[in-house]
Amino acid sequence: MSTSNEPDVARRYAAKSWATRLRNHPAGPVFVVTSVLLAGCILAGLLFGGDFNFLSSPNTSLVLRAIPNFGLIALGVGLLMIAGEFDLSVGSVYVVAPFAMIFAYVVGVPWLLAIALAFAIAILVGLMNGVITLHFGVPSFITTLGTMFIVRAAAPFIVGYKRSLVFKAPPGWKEVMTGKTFEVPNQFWFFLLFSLLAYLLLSRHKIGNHFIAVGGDARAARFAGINVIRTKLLAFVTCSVFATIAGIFQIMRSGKAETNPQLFIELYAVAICVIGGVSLFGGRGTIIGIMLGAAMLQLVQDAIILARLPGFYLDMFVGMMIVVGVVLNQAIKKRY
Amino acid sequence: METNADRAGRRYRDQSGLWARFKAYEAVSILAVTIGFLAALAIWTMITGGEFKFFTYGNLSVLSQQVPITAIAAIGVGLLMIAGEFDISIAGTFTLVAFVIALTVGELAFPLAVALAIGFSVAILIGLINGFITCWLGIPSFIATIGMMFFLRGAVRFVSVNPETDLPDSILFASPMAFKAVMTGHAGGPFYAQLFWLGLVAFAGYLILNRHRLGNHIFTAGGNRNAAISIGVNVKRTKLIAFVICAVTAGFAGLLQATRITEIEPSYATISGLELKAIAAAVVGGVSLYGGRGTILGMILGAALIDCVDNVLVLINAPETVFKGILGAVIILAVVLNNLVSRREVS
Amino acid sequence: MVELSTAAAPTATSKAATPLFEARGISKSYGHVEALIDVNFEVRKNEVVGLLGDNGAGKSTLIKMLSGVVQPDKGKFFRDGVEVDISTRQKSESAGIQTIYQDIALVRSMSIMRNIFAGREPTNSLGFLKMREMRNTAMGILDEYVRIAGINSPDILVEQLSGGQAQAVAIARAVHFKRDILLLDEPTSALSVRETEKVLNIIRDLAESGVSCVFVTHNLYHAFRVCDRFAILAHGQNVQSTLKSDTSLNELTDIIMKH
Repeated sequence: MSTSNEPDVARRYAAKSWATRLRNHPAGPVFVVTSVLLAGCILAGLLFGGDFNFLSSPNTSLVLRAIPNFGLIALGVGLLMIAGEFDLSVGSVYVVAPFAMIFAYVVGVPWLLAIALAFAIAILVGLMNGVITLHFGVPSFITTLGTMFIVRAAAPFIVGYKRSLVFKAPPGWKEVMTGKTFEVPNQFWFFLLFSLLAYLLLSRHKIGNHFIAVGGDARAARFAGINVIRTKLLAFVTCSVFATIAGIFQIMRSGKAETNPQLFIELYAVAICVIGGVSLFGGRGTIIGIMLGAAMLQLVQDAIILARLPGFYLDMFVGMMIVVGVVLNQAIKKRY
Repeated sequence: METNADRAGRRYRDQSGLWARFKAYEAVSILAVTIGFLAALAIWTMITGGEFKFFTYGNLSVLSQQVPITAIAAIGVGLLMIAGEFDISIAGTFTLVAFVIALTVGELAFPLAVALAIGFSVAILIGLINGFITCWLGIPSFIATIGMMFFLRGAVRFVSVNPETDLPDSILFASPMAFKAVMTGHAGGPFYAQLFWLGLVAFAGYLILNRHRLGNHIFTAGGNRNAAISIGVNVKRTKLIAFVICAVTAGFAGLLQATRITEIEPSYATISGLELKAIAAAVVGGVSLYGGRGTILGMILGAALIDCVDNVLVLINAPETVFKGILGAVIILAVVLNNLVSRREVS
Repeated sequence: MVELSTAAAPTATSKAATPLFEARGISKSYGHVEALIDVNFEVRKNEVVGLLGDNGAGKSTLIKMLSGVVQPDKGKFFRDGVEVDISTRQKSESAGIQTIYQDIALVRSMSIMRNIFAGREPTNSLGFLKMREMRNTAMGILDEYVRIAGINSPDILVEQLSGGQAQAVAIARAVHFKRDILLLDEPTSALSVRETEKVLNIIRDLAESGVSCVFVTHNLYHAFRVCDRFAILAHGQNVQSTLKSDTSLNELTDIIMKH
C-alpha cells in the first residue's frame, strides 16, 4: 500500500541527531539560550569577581528565591494556556488571596484554616473566570482583564482598607518554606516539586491529556467525548491555585501581606510561558520549557542588575524576548 | 431616467422611516446607555439637592479636558480593533511621544515644529513596528504589542533619566503660550480646545472609516480576512496603516495631555491603565472584539461613559481600585451584551 | 423511471435478516424548511451503504441524527430490531455508531497515541495514564487496521501526517473501540486523489471485516467503487434504495439529476 510519493514520515521520524531533536523540541530554544546565559554569567562571575558577583552566596540565594516566584505563577498560567485559555487576573489573586489569609489569621482564625481560605478564594476566582468565559462566551483574555480589576477592587472592601499587614507565622512554617537545604533556598526545592507535579499532571495524567486536547482542538476533543467545559474550568482553577501558592511563599518570605499590586506580573508570566515554548493558540507546551523560561528571565534580570545597567533594559529585553519567543515557536511549528 | 438601483434606493428610503433607520444604526445602544446614564446623574443631582456636583461648571470643565484625551486614544484603538487587531502599547506611545517632544523643545532647544515632527515620527515608527511584527512575522497582535509595551516602558525610563540624579524623572513641557492656547485653551463656558481636536479627529476618523476606500478595507480585513484577500484587499497593508493610525492618535493624545498639565511623569506609561481604558471605551462603544464592526460615535461615547464613571466615583469619594473594578465589570458586561445581541441578529 | 413517494420507498432486499441499524419515519423541520420528510434508512451487516443525493437533499441532517447531534421531530431508531435512544453523542456511541468527519477532527498538536485515547484513556485508580498499555495498543491499532506506510511510532504528531494518514488514524480509532457502524461524512472531500484511494480501500476492507459503513458523499464515482448499496435522498425524502448489482453509475447519476 505504500507508494514512493507518500510523504516519508518514517524517514523524517527516524532517529535524529540530538541537535536536531533539541531544535525541534518546543523547549529546545529556551534551553539553549538559558544554558548559554547561565554559562556566560558563571564565566563573568569567575572572571570579574567582585564586579560581577554572580557566584556569591547572597546573589545565588536571590536568584534561586526569585525564580520560584514567577515560576510558580507561570506554571499555572502555562497549564491554562495549553488548555487554550488565558488568565490575566493571576496577579490579583497572587496578592489578594494571601492577604485575605493573613487578615483572617491576624483576627484569630487558625493558621491552617486561613490557608484553606486562601485556596477557597483561588478556586472561587478560577470558577468565576471559567464561568464567564465559557458560559457567556467572553474571550478569556478579556474576562480575566476584567476580573483582574474586579478582584483588586473587591479586596479593600473585604479586608477593610488596610494596605499591609505584618504577621508572624506559626513556628516551623517560616523555616520550612523559606529556609535553606543544602545551601539552596527551600522555595526552589518546592518549585521543583510543584514543577514535577505539574509535569505528572500534564504528561502522565488523564486530565493533562484532556488539557492538551481541548487546547489543541476543542471541537475534536468534544467529538472524542471529552467534557470541554469541565476540563477548562479545572484549568482555570489550577491557574489561580498556582498563583495563590506563589503568593503565599512570597508573603512568608517578606513577613507581611500587602495589597499593593505587583505590577503586571501576569504579563511576565505569559512572557515566561511564551519564551518557554507554550503556544498562544493552545495545545502545545512543556513544563520544562516554563521552568527554563522562568530561569532565563531571572538570569537576565540578575545580569542586568549585577552589571549595573539601568533597569529599563530589563523591560526592553522582556519585550523583545516575548516577540522572539513567539517567532521561534511559529518557526518550530512550520517545520512540519 | 430612474434606474433599477434608483428605484430600489427610493423603496428602501420609503420603507424605512427615520425611526426604523435610527433603530438599526449600530451606535444606538451605546447612545441609549449614555443618555440613560446622564439622566440618572441628573436625577441624582436633583435628589441630593445639588450636593452631587457632576453638572457644575468646574466639573464639566474637568471632563471636557479629560474625555477628549481618552476618546482620541479610543478612536485609534477602535479603528485598529475593527481591522481585527489590538494595541496594548498605547500608554507607552502616549508617554514616549510626549517625552520626546518635551525633551526636544526643552533640553535640545529645537523649535516646536521640529519637536512635533520628531515626536510624530516616533509614533509612526512604533505603529510600523507593531504592524510589521503582527502582519509579517505572524505574531498575534495582542502579544506583539505587549512586547512593545514592555519595550516602550523601558524606552520611557531611558529617555526620562535625569542627568543629575541618574534616575527617571518627570519632565516639564514648556510650550509657547500660543501653542498651549490652540491645543488646550479655554473657549468659554465649560468648553475647551481639546473638544475641538476631538471633533477633528472624530471627523477624520468618520471619513476614513465610512467614506473612504481604506475604511471599507479595514472593515473587510477585520470582518473576514479570507474574503478580504480573495477580493483583492491588501490585508497586511491595511492593518499596517491601522497600526500607524492607532499609534499616531495615541501620540497626539499624549501631546494634548502634556500640553495641558505640562509635567510628564514616566510612570504614566506603566500605571495609567490607558490601554485598558481605550480598549474598554471601544468595546463599550460597540466595537467588536472579533473585528469588523464599530462606529466612531460609539468609541467617543464609550470613552465619555468611562471617564464619567471615573469622575462620578471620584465625586463620591470611592477608592481608586473601585473604578478599575467597575471598569473590569463593565468590559465583561459589554462583551456579554454584544454577544447576546449578535446572536439575536443571526437568528 | 422512478417515482417520488412519501411512503416507505421501495427497498431492494438481498438479505432478509434484521438490519444492523434502522431509522424509520424520520421527519425534521427547521422553521419552514422541511429538511427530512418521513425518511427510512437502514444499515445492514457487512455492507457499505452510500447515502447519496445532491446538496440540500438531507444527507447531512440524517447523518447528524445518527450521530446523536440532532434530534428528529418524528421517527424512531432501531438497533438489531430493538428501539434505541440516540439523542446524545454518547448514546449514539453506545448504540455502536461512530462518525468520521471531513475535517478529520483529530487534535493536530497531539500525538497519534494521545489522539486515539482522547476521552477514553486507560488509567490507574488515581487517573494516571497507563503509558505502556497505550503505546502498545496504539502500535497494534496502526499495524492491524491501518497499514500506513512510514508510521512506525505512535508518538508522531497528527499534524505531521498527511490528510489521508490522519483520516486513516481516525477510522482506526473508531474501529478499535468496537464501533460496528461507521458514519463517514464526506471523508475524502479534503483529501488528495492518492489519499482518497487509500481511504476508499480502507473502507472496503472494513466492510469485509465486519464493520458496516455509511458513506455520505456527493461524488458518485467514489460511491460506486466502494458501496454495496445506495440510498438516495432528494428534497428530504427517500427516492430509492438499490443494490449496486442492480444499477449502474449512469443510472445513479440520472436518478439524482432528475430530482
